[in-house]
Amino acid sequence: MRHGIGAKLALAVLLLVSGAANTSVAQAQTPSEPPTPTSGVPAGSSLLNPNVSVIGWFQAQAGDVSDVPGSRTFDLREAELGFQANVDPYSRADFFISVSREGIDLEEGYLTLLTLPVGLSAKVGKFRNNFGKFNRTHPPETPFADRPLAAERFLGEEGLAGAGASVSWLIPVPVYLNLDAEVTDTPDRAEVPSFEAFRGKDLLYTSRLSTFFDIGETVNFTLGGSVANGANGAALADTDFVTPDTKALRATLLGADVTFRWKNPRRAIYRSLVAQVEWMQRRAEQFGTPDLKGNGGFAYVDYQFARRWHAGLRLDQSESPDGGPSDQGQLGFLTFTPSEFSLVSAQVRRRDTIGSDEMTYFLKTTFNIGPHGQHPF
Amino acid sequence: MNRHPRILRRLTAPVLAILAALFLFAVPGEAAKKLNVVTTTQDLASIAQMIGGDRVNVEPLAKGYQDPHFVDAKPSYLLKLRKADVFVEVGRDLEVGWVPGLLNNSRNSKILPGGPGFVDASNGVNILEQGGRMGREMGDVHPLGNPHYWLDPENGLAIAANIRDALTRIDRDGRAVYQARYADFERQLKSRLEGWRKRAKDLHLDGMNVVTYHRSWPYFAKAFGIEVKDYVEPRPGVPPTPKHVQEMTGLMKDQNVKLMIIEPYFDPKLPSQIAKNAGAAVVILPPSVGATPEAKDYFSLFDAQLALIQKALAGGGRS
Repeated sequence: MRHGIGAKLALAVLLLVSGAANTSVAQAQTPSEPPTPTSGVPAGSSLLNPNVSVIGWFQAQAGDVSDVPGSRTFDLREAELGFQANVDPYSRADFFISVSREGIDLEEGYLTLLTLPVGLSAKVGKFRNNFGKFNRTHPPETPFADRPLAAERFLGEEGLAGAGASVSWLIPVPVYLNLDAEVTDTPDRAEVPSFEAFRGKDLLYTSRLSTFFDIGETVNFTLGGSVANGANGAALADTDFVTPDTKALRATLLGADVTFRWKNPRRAIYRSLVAQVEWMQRRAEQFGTPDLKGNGGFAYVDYQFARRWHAGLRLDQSESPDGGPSDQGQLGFLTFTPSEFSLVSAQVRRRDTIGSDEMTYFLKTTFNIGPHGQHPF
Repeated sequence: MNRHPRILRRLTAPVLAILAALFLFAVPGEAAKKLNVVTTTQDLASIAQMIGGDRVNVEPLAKGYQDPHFVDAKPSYLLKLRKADVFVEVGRDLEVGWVPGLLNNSRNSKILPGGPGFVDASNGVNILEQGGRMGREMGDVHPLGNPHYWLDPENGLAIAANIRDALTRIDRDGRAVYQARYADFERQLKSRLEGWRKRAKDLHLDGMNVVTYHRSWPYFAKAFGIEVKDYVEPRPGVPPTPKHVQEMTGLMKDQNVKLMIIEPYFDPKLPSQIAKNAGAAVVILPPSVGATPEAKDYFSLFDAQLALIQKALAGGGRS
């Protein structure tokens, strides 16, 4: 989404005003004041203002991809601005705004209802759909300089997101079992290749059932199954005429994911391992011909071998969403984290696609400012 | 063309069957009659158990041997939180990396901040290291002050009072019980405090120069008159550099530092080497209940700490 200079200036003013307000609150506090509750409310420098944070994502790249017209060697890929706070005793709001050379985009902005009965919570607004495990992670916060091939081909470069409503149910059973059901607008194919919005009423339905269990205190697993069903505009376009009663052809995306984690809680800051496998399959209805079927998936390992060092490997395999030949890729990374709030990662990627075998080298740097956020899990 | 809904229909029956079976195991038992109290740490759990007695079931999330800054926000914790009547946290941003997300996903409005069952145990505690310059250039600092306040036994009283008040709010029928148990806790704590202070005096802790790994011990030091001269971490959360190690070794020699205190979740290799070079004893001290078998509850935590310090000072080496 592109916005004019005016919008950028307005945002800059908003940020400056917000920052100035935070400072004045911080200076007004003195140690003699009575202590206030310190969790679930904005931490430290802000009290009634929302928590304001920024993640910068700078990246350098070289290799075969540099030959592509329009590619850049150095790029501030994104500045992700986060505004988060409770709205009232019943709800909280989260906004994430992505600023990049493509423009300013409201990546997410949603209201979460926290006090619903019988294990329910709900959110309305624009959010990343709960499809699979990887899709919910914002791009700067993944371990990778790029997106896995299957995630890119099926869910788009920015991932599957849309405006709508979501209900989440923590099912009252003795194990962790959570069911999410979401209805959102169908994205355009240019953003998310698996679906194509044709009419406003052709909505995207997403659901995910996930479970989690510990094996001892060092190992745990997350298992998830997801389904997304939405309009398949490309197939409709093949018809010669469309009336309001024309049945929209649909595409169904099935997903399965397994995440394994190992960490010794007695030495939590020194060693850990995360391994994740995610697979997805798309079936798209066609007018008068068999459904198109495409498969893709990826697996990665992220091993923390010292307090500030991670190494990892990702394997990609993916067809196009409509099927066809399967392409492969591998990505390796070595990451140094000076602190919880910054990292530098050297990565090398090989992609073996039809008619091309390319090598790309990345240097990814991210840096966060603002209050301490949630540790990733 | 209708194959996709058919797939969903096929999945529906087995999923519903599994859910129905799991519901059967979810029938509440005897324990449901008691108040469910969930705490972030075992220290808070120990005090909550002493105040609540038989009227409560207490479950801590983190173990005493874990670094409370770095606990994974595991979804399995939500099973405890969703049925909690009372939730007690240390607060002061100690658990900022894992608790807010858990609470927001707990589906339990009683224990959200502002709810009747939410307890910030730091209320009423005289918090150290508040105010002054704050910024990430100073490391992973806590803007709301040092959160390791339970390590001054006198602060146990404020923690216990906060828990007593929350239990009374939720369970008014138990008011007299909670008040009586609080009074007993106060009497025991004051009595034991005399003993701990006497033991610290016998160990000549008053005025003793020590160094510690992390800034976990200012309250403990204040309680027993210990002088903390430096830290293995040059700034909170920042590992030591060779230059800092060199400077610290010199400082320890200059200041006649006799003891280095290390939390059990840090790798003791490098700090032990520093202490050896400086001629100081090393003690791996339990910062929380449950960190060692001897630290069984909030009272025995201080017994265990002083015993380990005595052993380290007597042996002149690692304890």
